[in-house]
Amino acid sequence: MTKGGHTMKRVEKLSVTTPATWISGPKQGCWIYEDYAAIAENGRYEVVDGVLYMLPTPNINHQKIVGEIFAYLQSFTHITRSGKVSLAPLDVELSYGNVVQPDIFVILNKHLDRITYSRVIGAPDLVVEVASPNTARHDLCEKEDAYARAGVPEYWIVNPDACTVELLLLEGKFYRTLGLYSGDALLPSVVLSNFPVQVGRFFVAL
Amino acid sequence: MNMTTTKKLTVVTPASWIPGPEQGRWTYADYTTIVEDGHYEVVDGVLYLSPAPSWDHQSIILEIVIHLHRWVQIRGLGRVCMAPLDIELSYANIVQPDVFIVLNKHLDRITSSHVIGTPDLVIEVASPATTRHDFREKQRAYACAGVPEYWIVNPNAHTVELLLLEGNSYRSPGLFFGDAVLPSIVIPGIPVQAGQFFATV
Repeated sequence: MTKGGHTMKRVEKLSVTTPATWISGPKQGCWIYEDYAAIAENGRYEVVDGVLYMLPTPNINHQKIVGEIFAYLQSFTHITRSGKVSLAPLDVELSYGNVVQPDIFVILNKHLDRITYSRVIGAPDLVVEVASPNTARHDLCEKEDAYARAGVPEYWIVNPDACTVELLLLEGKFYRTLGLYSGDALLPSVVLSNFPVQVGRFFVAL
Repeated sequence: MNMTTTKKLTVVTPASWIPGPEQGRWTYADYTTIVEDGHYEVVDGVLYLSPAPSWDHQSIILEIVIHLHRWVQIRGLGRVCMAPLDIELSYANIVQPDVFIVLNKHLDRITSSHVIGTPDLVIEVASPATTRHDFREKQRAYACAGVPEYWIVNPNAHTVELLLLEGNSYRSPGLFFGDAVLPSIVIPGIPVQAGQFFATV
């Protein structure tokens, strides 16, 4: 593969979301929002359970899908006047020691007071993560646990390669899956009831 | 394979309708009495039912087994096995990994009915319907049981994530694909490229 006359080494290994132990600050397990906000190094970081993680750079398909889903959610919440939609990189301080940047999240009207100038403080009503292979483990383990503990009522996990969405609803302290949706399926969202978009539409730009 | 008319797929789910002990209390003895068809596993005493695997899922498993078996046999390292074979990781954890390896020094863990104890390497082909289970409950079960190495194969993205046990949890050296050779610790030097696992899909 050549570009501009230079041989580009073929990439065969991608970094995944990983604890960022090289960043100066408190020891792992003790990070809070103020420490996180003070990070001078470039990159996307999150704090889950006081552990600082560095997120890999998203790829183009990830961004296309985020764009499509955001556009549909934006139109829907606007038309139904139900709330506000935001997308990464925007900080959400779920709780003390948990600061995340969901790919997309929805805050219903009754919770708009959770939006402050610098960040959201508290749980969004719906989070959507496009779980690329290099973030899937983090999205499904640490972040799912963090969203459940913070009381996020609904979590959509988008698989960008299989073009599926798994819908999780909070029941008590854990998420229960409603199943995996694709193609013409409509998502049986509880937070955004009657959301009229077929799942396959999220992936049309690929 | 794109079936745009597919609407809803089932995923791995707690199988609370199967007669037996209450969820959280299943053991190997209870598990072996199940008469209902299906692919069941017990993690932390909870009985789970997995959906039937897809054609691609099985093709990838077959390729992985062929490559691993060749290397493990040439080197005389141990045994390569594939699902559905029961592993009793511990009292309340009975799983059927897609592929697993038991090294020679641990062959005494293989009994005529099932494996008792931990394999040295487990591989799960994480199809969309099993991904969450493979990353959550099973990863925790493998880590708790002390399985030293866990490969999570993404059949849609054609990637392999290699996890190495460090203390009580897995550390990920990264995501491998294409021509990448997997830096396995359990079967070091295996000359297979990640992309070869997906040759038939």
